[in-house]
Amino acid sequence: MNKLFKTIAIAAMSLFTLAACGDDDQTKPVKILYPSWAEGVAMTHLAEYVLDNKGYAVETTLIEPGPLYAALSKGDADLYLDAWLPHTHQDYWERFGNKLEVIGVVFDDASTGLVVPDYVEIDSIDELNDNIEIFDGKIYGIGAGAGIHGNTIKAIEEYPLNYEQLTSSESSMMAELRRSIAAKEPVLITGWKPHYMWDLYDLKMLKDPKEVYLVDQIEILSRQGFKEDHPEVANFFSHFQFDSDKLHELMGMVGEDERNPKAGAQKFYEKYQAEIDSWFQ
Amino acid sequence: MNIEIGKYVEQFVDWLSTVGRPFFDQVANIIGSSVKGLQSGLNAVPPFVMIIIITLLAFLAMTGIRQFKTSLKNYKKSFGLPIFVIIGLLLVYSMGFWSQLIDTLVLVLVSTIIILIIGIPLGILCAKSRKTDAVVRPILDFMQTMPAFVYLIPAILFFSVGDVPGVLATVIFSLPPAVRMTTLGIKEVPEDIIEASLAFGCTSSQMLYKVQIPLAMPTILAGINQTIMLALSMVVICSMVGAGGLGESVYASIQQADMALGFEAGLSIVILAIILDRITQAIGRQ
Repeated sequence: MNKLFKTIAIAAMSLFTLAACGDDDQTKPVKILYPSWAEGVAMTHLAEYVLDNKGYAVETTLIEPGPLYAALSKGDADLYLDAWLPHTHQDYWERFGNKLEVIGVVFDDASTGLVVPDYVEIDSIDELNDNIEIFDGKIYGIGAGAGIHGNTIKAIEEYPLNYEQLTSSESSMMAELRRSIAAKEPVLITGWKPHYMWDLYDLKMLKDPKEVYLVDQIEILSRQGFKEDHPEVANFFSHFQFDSDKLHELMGMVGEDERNPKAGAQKFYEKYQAEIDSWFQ
Repeated sequence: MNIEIGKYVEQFVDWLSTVGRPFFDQVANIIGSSVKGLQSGLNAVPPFVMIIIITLLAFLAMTGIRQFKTSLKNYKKSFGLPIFVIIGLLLVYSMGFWSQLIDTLVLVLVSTIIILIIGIPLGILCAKSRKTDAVVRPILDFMQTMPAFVYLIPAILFFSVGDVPGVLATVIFSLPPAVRMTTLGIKEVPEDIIEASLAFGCTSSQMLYKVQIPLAMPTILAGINQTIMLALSMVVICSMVGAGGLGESVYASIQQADMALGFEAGLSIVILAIILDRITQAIGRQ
């Protein structure tokens, strides 16, 4: 029985490797995965539009971050444009990093931290313990298991803060922010840059004297062997970079009409066409 | 032609959340504090004491107090569920999900109590009046088929992040069977019994409390059982708006691709579901 299995497995493997060989860039679709984070959505749609425009077949799939890393490390997909390394996604990297390759760095000033609206008169995490009643002792966070969630647990331990972190999801946290700002009430959330929250509201990130929240790079990850299979696309992504203003502009354009993110991507591409085209050189 | 219904709904929700703030805060307070109070109360009970209490409950539900006295045969038959309860709950405890199980149990119970307070009277009204039924039925269809993700965000705008929007989303999703089964149970009371009661000079309130509700009870309890099951299916979705419990671990396991965590938390939900299902069914049979 085992022998039979082995034979079948070997046959299947060889078929797969045969199928994987000899394909060129143009026919095999590039599979890009992305979670529902604003910057990832924006970059992925731009990449899809530009590559599509140049005649490459692209497939994009929305997926939760855990399965995303797992699928990429198994080689079921090709690319992920929104990896926050080395800190925020450290756990994922430790588990899956040995089967992944970094093929580009989009942005080098990705910061996470605790965020309040501008009208709150507190500037540093140090001051939080003296103002527990203002915030009702609550930090509104995103999903349990996200990198920023772990960092906030660390911050609560290290400062130490007499606060509890409420775990929900990014959209829930943003709804809470919207609700508090509409009522002009103080609110404390776990926030990050780049994110569209900075374009919607006047916010500030609290100073972090103990440096619990470290600055990350947004890196582009690929499955192993992607560079060899798609040298031109990999080259394009090695130049795929933005400064803070441009990234926010892209997020604003793509997020403008949520039903049609492609339109925003097209608008951005047309505005910076010369520069983006040069990334293929 | 482009009708932007969604935009108007959004504006309406924004307006309502600012105007109705005092009222919503009041509701959030009542529900939030009862959930929190029950959670800390039940978590204060030592797990083994709690397991014994639930086992006794299961045993009593299986035997029914009267039959327990009369017949030894029933007494033997009713060991299956209590044994499952002990093994299942000890397993949950040993996996380290006890306090999360309690949190989830409380969320389900609070949601179910709210549903009973609204659902049973509504079901009776629907059984009594065709017009009410015609209005309520499509609303129930809407509640059951509208994806929960759609009203989660308005729920947060009204009630903030935490247990409260979770409980309310659960109420919306799980209310219909309680109403429908109540209506069905009352409508199915045989006509000749109704006539006999009328012949004995039964007033309409006596008819309801002494004839219709007791006869409809098995159907109503089947509705409550369905409600509890639906409430349990909402726990993972509710964790996305900040309701804790086992759902939060399942959601975290998705985010982290942590199969072990997901399986253990999921298994705990299954154990809780089976226990609640069997106990409510047994009560329905008595």
